[in-house]
Amino acid sequence: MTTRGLRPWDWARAGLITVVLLLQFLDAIPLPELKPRHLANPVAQVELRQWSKVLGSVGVEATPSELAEVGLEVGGWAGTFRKKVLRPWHPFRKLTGTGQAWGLFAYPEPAAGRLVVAGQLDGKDHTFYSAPGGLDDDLERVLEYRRVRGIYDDACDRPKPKRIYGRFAKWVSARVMTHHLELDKVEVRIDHHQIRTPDQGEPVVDQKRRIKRYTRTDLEQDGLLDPSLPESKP
Amino acid sequence: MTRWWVELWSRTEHPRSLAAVRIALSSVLLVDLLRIRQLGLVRTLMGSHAAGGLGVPENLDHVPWIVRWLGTGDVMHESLWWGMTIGCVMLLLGVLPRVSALGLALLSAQFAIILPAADRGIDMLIRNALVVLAFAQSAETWSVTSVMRHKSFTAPESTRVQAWPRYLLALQLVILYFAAGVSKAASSWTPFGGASALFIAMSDPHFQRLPDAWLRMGFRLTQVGTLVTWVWEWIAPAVLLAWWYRETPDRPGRLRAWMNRYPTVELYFVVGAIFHVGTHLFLRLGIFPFAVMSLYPAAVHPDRIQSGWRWLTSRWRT
Repeated sequence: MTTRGLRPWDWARAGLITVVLLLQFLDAIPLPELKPRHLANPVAQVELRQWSKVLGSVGVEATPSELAEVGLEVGGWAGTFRKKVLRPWHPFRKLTGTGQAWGLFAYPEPAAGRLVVAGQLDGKDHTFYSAPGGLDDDLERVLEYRRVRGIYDDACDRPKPKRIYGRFAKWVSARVMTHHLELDKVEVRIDHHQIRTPDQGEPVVDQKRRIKRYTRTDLEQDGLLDPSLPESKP
Repeated sequence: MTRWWVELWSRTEHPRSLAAVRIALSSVLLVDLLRIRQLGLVRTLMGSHAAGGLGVPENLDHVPWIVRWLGTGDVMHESLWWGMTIGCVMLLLGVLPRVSALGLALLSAQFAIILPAADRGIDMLIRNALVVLAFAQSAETWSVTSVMRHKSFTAPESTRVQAWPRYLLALQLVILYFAAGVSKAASSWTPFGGASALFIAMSDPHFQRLPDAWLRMGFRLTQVGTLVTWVWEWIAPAVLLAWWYRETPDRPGRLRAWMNRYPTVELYFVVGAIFHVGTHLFLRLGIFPFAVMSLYPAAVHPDRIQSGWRWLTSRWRT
């Protein structure tokens, strides 16, 4: 026991907690770890123009490209610093899957995506799902489960979707074909949906994007469908 | 000051607040796991590609330990789901709570590696909280452990546990909100960008609950909501100030006196609860609002929970 009732362990505990807190704070600080590919995003370009205008209105002249340059410089430095300090803790963070990277709708995306699953039933185009749904069927419940949404929602604002989007599209197609034996082709896509505020005018029509089409034969060859299933049972 | 700091992290208190976090958090996680099973998504989300899942953990440079140990077959994803579910039930009941919290965090981290795209920010928050609970005596009350130890579901008032895990969870909330506020760098969160962020988020087809026409009619309201959200997240550090003022009530200062006169911390989190319930009603965010709110009891001292409960029940009776 040390004086006034504090034991050595109390000091050690406080010391350990202090270290943990400092690391967590450093991890949580939203340092702008910008890379050129981030600034290539159309939303980032709009933001640069917007902030350049805002700064100009208060007398600070900075062109969008100058702002981008400052962002990249500060971002490079900040990223390196954070990585260096946190590197020794990386194995623990990986093992426990912990971290402090928070950004709840940090950049709401006006150029949003809309997942559409479509095909042809009885010779007519049929939409099995189009976000935000409304049919309340099994497919909708599955596609709107938060973890599944995370898989395709990620593909919306990237210049190119990750490979998982292809695997997801195949999986959805196989699922739809299993429930509709007469279906031979499924199209999965994420349409470009431009969100416009009332000040910006009327909504515009979506544009088809990220189209993936699969036939029953494709999916059978991939082992996602059982070829022995009976065909065309209207 | 150093001495105060050390004493702060050495304090003890009744386990009520920590138990509330344990029960709420494990309940939310359990519902989420049961939902995966109900939707038939265990294989799809937790399985390897070889077994029909969407993830490809077997091709990673560092293959996750669960795949190394159990392979890429059905045993792996079934074990992962059952392991997490049993861990959740154990934590909920307060059976080996530290082991189950740690086990849950580790298994959830494996899940995140198997299919990173399906792992959301809220899952990381849950794991952060589970790691803290792995060090906490959260099952000293309202648990099987309490029944065995105290012969009662509710621990006696004299029961004392380390308070620091609760402080860490409360700080986690402040960090979460403040970091989220600061990172809202898009101009649409500010009046300069038309304060349209909430409108944009609510109009995103993947999160949308209300029809477009309703949203367009309520645009001005969403602008107010945008600014309130932004300010509310930015002022999260005021909670730290409020706690400091509660620590030092005898010192002078009008702000201190004013903040100590009202339950400012509790009011901040009441606004937070309204904000989260609102986002749940207007946006499809899955378990997010409930998982965040499950940490709220950590921000309230156990004695205040007790007095608040007494006040509520006395009002109910009258």
